Amino acid sequence: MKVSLPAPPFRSRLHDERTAALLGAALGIAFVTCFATGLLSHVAQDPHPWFPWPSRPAGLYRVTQGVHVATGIAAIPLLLAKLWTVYPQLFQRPVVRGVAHGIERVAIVPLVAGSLFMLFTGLANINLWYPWSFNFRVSHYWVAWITIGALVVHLGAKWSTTRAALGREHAATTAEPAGDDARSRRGFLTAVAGAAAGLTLLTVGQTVWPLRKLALLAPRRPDAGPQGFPVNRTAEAAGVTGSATDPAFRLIVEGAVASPLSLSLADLHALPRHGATLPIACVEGWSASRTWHGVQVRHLLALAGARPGASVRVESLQQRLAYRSSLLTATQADDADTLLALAVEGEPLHLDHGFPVRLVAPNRPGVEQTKWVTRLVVT
Amino acid sequence: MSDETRAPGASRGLWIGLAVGAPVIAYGLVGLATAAPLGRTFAVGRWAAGLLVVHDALLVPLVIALVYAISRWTPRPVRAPVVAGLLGTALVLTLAAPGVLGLGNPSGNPTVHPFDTTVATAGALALVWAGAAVWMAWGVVSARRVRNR
Repeated sequence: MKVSLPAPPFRSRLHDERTAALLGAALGIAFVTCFATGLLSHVAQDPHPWFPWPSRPAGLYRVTQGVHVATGIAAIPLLLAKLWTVYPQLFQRPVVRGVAHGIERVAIVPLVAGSLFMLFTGLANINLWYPWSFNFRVSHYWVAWITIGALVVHLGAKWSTTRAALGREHAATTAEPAGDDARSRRGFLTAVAGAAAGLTLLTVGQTVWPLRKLALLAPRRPDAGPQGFPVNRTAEAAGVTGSATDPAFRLIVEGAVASPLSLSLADLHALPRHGATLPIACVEGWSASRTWHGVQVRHLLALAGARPGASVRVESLQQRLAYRSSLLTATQADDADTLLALAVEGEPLHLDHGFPVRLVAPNRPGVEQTKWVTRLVVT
Repeated sequence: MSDETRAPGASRGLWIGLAVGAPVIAYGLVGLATAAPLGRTFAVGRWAAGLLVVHDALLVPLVIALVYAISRWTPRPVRAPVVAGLLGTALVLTLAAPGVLGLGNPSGNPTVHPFDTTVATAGALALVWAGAAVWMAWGVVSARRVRNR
């Protein structure tokens, strides 16, 4: 009996060079965008002397990190489609045809493994899910370098092929009749683009306010939480519930100052107040803009007699876990809108938003907007 | 890709890519190895390799089997939208899984997944299948037009 097997899907034009080139181009743009915005986020959290993170525009980090997370999510269907398209090459024989081909194939391993790692860990991180033993931020950062390096090698190897495949469009559409395969390729690419657009639409509302009701797949809603916006670490998780509500609370200003200060909450409330509308923009991709009122950091520094151009370490009541302090560069400390906020939208801060006093400054990652501030150390 | 279809200049491009990309890869590897204890670096490697194996040896064969089954048992005009709908469903479930399964958020932060994640996921799936249904209807109408021509 003759057994007829169906044509394997590998014969489809969904696996041809043009499909791979089109998806590769889209994925390349997505990865470079993610890499660039990821580097900016890294520098924003660890300012370098050669790249001082600016305090303006106030919403820059909100945009770059929103783009980082949105592009990463959109890249999930792009990556899976691209890997599907080139999957038959996994079974290419002979496995290696020469030195150049061998290097090209070896470079695929860090590229694919790194890409899967980046998207999986990024997706887990925005859900505060850490099913591994390594530090997310450190690993995500260094694997990004490995992945982008492998992408550069791959781009070099495929540059001529990709250009040739993309240049074939005119010839293909004029010389060949549009058969089922052509239609299925068009349908495939449309479906992939639709999936990327759909996932973006269903998640980007965590930072784009008008789309918040559509954020069905986003872990956060910018309008959900105490006082109408989310919290990244609660007072209970930070272990500050008692110390933050202690009537004996003092704010200390010390370090390189002429007159160290020790201020009670009443003292802080008696100082001149300044208002500013600034976003809290989280590294996990959500953001929300609010109007804050509090004492200008530069006013406190002037009261304490700090020299002009001083930088400041801002310390929290939080005794454990990461991000218990942050650094204000001289430019950030001197910005008129850099506040020790006492109120948001006209109400005293909720405990989970940093009561009694928190740092709010323009263009900073949320984790650097230190909550439950108890000490400013001027350097 | 066969040797015959290999574009001219491909090798030169590889060497240029390697000259630029290899130091970047090395920078990342050294940074990863020195930024944390070696055991954690190996854990990163295990996760990356594990994800690669899961993708290549499990996920793609499953999708191939799914596409094959659909191409055997569904009429041609609705084939592509059904595949797209199923893969869209898989993507939605992947993104929704942490919320629906209660993964992560160990401190119980109430502002993480602050809504009913099952209802939200069902809403997203409804949008996916509404799109697929429009595509199916368009496919069926197009096929009829071609037949009646």
